[in-house]
Amino acid sequence: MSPDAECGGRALALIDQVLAKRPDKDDVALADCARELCVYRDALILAQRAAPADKDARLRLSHVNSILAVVLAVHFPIDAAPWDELEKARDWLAQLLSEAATTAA
Amino acid sequence: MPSLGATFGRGAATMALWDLQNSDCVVVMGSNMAENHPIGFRFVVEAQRRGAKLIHIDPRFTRTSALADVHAPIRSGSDIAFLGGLIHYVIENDLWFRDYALNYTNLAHIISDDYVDSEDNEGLFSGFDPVAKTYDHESWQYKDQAVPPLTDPTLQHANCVFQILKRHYARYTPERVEEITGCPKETFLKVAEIIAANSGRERTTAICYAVGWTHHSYGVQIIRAASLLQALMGNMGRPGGGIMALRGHVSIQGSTDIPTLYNMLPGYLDQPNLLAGHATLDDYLKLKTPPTGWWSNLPKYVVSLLKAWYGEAATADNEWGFQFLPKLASDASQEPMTLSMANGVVKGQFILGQNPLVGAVNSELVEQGLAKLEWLVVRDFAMTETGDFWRNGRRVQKGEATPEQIGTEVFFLPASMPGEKEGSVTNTSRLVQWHDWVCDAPGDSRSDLWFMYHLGLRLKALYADSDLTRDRAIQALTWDYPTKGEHQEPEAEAVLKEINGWTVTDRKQLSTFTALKADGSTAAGCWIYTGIYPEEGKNLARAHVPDAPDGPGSHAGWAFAWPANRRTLYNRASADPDGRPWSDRKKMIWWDESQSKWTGLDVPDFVADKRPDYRPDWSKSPHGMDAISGAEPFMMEATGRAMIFTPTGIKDGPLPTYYEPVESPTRNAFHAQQASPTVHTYDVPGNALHPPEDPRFPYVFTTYRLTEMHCGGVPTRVMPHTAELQPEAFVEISPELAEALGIKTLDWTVLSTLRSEIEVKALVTERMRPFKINGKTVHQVGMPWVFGWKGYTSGAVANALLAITGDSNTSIHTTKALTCNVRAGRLKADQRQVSS
Repeated sequence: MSPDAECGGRALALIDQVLAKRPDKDDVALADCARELCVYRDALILAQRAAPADKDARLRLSHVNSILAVVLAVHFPIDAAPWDELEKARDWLAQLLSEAATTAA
Repeated sequence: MPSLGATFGRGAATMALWDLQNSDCVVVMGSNMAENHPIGFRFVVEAQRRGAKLIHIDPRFTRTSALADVHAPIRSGSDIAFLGGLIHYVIENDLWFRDYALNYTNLAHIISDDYVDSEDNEGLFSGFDPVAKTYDHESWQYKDQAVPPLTDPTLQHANCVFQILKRHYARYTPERVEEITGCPKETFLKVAEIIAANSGRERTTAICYAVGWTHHSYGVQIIRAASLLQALMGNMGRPGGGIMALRGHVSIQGSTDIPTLYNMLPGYLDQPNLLAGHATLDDYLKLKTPPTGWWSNLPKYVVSLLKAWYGEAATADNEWGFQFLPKLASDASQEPMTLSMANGVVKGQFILGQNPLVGAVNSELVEQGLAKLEWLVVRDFAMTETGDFWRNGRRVQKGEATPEQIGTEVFFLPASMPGEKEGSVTNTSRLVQWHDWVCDAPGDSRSDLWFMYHLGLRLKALYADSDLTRDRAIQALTWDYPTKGEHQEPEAEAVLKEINGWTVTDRKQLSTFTALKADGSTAAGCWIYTGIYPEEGKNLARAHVPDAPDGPGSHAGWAFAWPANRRTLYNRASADPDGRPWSDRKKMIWWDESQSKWTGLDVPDFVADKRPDYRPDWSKSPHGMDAISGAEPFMMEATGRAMIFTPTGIKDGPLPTYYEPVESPTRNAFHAQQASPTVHTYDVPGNALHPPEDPRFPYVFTTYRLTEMHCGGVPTRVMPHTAELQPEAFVEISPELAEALGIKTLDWTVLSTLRSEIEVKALVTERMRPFKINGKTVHQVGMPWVFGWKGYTSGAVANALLAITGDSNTSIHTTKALTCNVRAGRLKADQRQVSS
């Protein structure tokens, strides 16, 4: 597994940890998760810049940004924390990592 | 702040500064107005010359106190106990202005049977979710959610707002006020008596506040409490009456009108929120547009804004460009943003007109965040602590980081000063005033408008060929402002003309926001400013014609006050329900039967030809302003009435209730709920809070400005002639505490919290007094927050001691009431701040 994918994997585990504790909000895990996702995002940005025409790479980056937005929405909610959205984001991330692993293989 | 908006309809000062001279009583609370708003304070002095009383309610004895008839000292953060005590006093003694409040507020409205007040539930209102720390507002609604709301004009119904209010503040007795605030009962009663004696048909009282109220973990509710009092006393919309929201510096009002806030669009339109169901324009408008009241016009303002921003790219087929707008998902205010910088979420930041290393709380967390950025752009006319953080920041000075370890690429760009650029400022009275260019700025200094315009041009060029949906917003943005001079300075008046608005087909300037349409035929960058540039070549912000001494006193020919050049908001309330002035002495707006319109000394803040005896025909389900009677002055509210009780719009309770500050040396004497249950706290390393009654941090700590130091200090610290007026930082300590700690004036002291430690010299002064709180002595210390390490005058950054917290409604931090320790002596040599 590539280092960036490892970050994605750790982010996934942290989302699972956050979801397991809901409705209590685990701020420390959410902050860690944001950090891991940012490292993953930075790797995808580099990949996208290296291959600007790669639409899949751009799509992956777009998806990670969306996942990060939902993690932040739970970490810093405007109203109630959007747990259902976080569940969906968790599944997007799992799918993204799975596809990345398949591509790498 | 949303408190004024939720209570009266608009989030702004309700009166002109000069109208303070017409007050019979001025209450300054949460402000040291004489020192920090000295120009506006002359109207208070004039009011005193005419016989008005001045009351200053403040923890310190300041120059404002020195000029006041009464100084009421209170412990920092206990404001709601004091204001609640005033509400209790006027209700219990039947001193409220019944004819006004009964007709113009929702006192008679009946609330849901499911509502449970915080007084009956240990400090928590019904609907509280203890895990999410949020409220469901369902039980706060009007009974049966009837439209119009059910009422009991006799005010006897157990669940009418009046009875709820009466019960809610029943325990806020003068004795309890003294126990909690430390203000002697006799002083409190004197304040209450003066306010009551100076309110009613013949007399009015104004309340002035500043960030001494907003910078609390429940600042919105402090302002709400004052709003309730003013509504009960009939002091809104009348000469010399109102709430004067003194803004922190010159164009703070303008920066919320045309906002730098993350959650608002210009003209107080909500930023769309993806998680609130605002995915489409249709959804957004359906959810945000009330069926009754002036805000039923919301679609006109939203579509006109989109047309101003996106021009021909905004069409009916693409929701007028609604999808170009970013949608919120999270709280993106300053505190979460600071923390997100440290987490790597935010990659770059522009700092314009701000110095967060000094002005933001928990300076070291701010530094950690800045150190994680890839790039930072600081624009100012002198180097600030923020621009210098990577070289001389607190963490660098303490050896916790080195410049080599900080990867942030910092760009410092010189900015021009006011005389070096043209443009407008919107002052504390909603008054938009123009200033002209006088001379060019030296060297490469440029205006902020120049910077933003040319940055926009470059971004548009960068994304011009993109076929990505997300880049369409930049491509679609209208950016066609004419420029002049060798530096291609954009014409500021062209921006103002767009803000004012025009008809799309012929670009004819609009003279009133009532001309705005939701069909794409009009464009306006900020609907509340429409009318400021009503025709070609006519910029009313430049108008400089004051009234003659025998004129109406509204000075309608001097600049432009939004909305519609009205100087006193809600001025329909200056007349009784029948349209007659409450008194000749306090007349402002009245109904002229012969002309069938409202007339008077100001621009009427009402539908000009709506008769006072108009009543909606509810059998026909009236819409918009048709649902507001001719005797309901607060037309921005869906019911046309001031909201004593807020069923919606305030997140932490429909009535202000007393909580201790987020850090406090005492327990909440009212109920088990110590601090606001919905306050935003951030559990991250370096941001720990002190528990209640923590013996390690026994003193209340508060911060404030100095007359001689402007904003974050740099503008005056770099000028020798102003720097020498305040040569070094200091902490103010009472003689009693100084004696107990063995400290004399000019001795070094160390102030500490769990966030940080600083050293600063002592100023032992009777301006600071110990308080007797809940039976024990509580000391308070205060320090100006305007010092740093840049400039001729340097000193410890007070805000390094503070924690990142947030008001439930605004996420604004608290700087006015935390706790600390004080000891005599100095920090170790390697922990001291060195100036540069």
